[in-house]
Amino acid sequence: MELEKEKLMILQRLQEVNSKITEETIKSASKEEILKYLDLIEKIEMELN
Amino acid sequence: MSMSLNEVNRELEILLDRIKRVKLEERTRLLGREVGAGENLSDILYEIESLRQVAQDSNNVIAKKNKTQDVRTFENFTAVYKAVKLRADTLRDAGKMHHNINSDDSIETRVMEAYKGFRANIEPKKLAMLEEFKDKYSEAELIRVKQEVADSYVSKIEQNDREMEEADSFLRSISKDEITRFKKNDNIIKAIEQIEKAEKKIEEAEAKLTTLRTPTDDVEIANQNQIIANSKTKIAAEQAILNSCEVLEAPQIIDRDGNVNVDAIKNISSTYKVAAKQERKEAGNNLLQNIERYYNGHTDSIQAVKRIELYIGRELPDKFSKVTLAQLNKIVDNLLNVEKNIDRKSTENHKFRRKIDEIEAFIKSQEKGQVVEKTGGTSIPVYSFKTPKEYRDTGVALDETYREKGFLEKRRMREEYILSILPQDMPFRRLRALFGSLSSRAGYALSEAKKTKEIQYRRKEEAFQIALKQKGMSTESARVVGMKEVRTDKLSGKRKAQMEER
Repeated sequence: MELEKEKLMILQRLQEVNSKITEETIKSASKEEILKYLDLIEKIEMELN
Repeated sequence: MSMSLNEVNRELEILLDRIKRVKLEERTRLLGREVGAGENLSDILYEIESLRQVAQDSNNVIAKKNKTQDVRTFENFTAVYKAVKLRADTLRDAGKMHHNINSDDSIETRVMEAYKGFRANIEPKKLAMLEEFKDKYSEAELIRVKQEVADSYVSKIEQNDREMEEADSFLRSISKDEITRFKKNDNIIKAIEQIEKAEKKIEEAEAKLTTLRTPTDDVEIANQNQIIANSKTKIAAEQAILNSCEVLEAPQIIDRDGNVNVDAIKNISSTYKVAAKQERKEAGNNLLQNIERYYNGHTDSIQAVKRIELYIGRELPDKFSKVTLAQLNKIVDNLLNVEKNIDRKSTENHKFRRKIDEIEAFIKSQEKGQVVEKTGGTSIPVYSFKTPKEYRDTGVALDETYREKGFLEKRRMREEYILSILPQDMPFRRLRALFGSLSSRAGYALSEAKKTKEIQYRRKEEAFQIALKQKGMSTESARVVGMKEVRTDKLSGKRKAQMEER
């Protein structure tokens, strides 16, 4: 049950972080930051699946 | 409140780490749980079979990892192994218990066979190796192993650099417009692919969500929602990349509502590919390949540097990333050799000696993983020194006649030597910062030496280009011609004068 809770907390935090990405965030980001972000979410998705 | 993408990335790295930890813990717990007294025998057999798979997978990973890979991976797999072993032992006992109750020989045989198969996959040798991994290697040996790995990556970087150099040279021979067009073309295609992929993911996740309804599906629902949210952000990010290409294709790519017109981009992409073939036929294809090679090579270099950082356990300074400790040591040896040849009583010598001490201190700090501060507070400047081979290739070195020269000449040669082992593009003020406050005459000598070196490089490049384009030689042969040009220039004063006249 603890692990399930931890999983839920991680997913909630992911959603929180995601909701803080606005159009402004992307516009002001460098290409490297965008590529790094894409790489990270791909890894996270792989782990979650 | 919005976050910067940099902050988001930091947060995501932490979350990724947490997810990995949870998964590992989950797997270990699952494997380590105890067998209940009334457990079904067919379940036990099924589980032994699953465990055999886990053991096999772990073995495969370990076989690939070998002894030089990072300790943490080994520790993870050791944990899995131990849990697997514990669980298998418990299951074997449970199987025996069933046998005692039911007095059925075939049951015990089946359990023991399954268990035997499982043991065969564990490979006790590897298990022992994992458990003793830390004791097996002394601190010094671990450093050596890490250094070996770092060296192998450095040689990979050097190989990449050579390939990048070739690709660069090829790219230089093609007009800038053409390169820009193909780069944009390449980015557009990649971005479109990513967008399509993300859209597909959204579709899949949404379809899955329609099948999840009960409260017990909470985790999976959150998971799928997360995938949808991530995919949407990914699409936005890729569209931002597409927007960066708008200089060339703005009217077609972005419509009046600000949406990306995928069909238009696809049409443009194919038009460019056809145009490339029509205009330059083979050259068009080669260009695409070389650009691809260039970027692949570049990515590999970055990854290799990251691996070195992982093994050293700290970040390498940007400019230091292509030099091994062994190479740095070699450079210091060279510097010390120079020092032996200069006047020990001169003030400059003391400054020079101090700089060498600083570099040595830096090397030691690299070995210990510390940051060394120079007296006075500022950190020691570190530069991307040339490798001994690169240094030899410049054709500049202290020759046998050094001892016979006068003081000024000696000084000039020494400065030239130092310059030859420093990066070509290092600004003059940084050179001065590196070697302390040299006298104005020494500074002048430095700048003159640098000019000479620049002239040599220009000649080398010119000879290379002439051989390549006008004489139609291969890249390799043209490079040899370029090198010879510099060496000839170095050896013959007359030749040098002629070249200067020309």
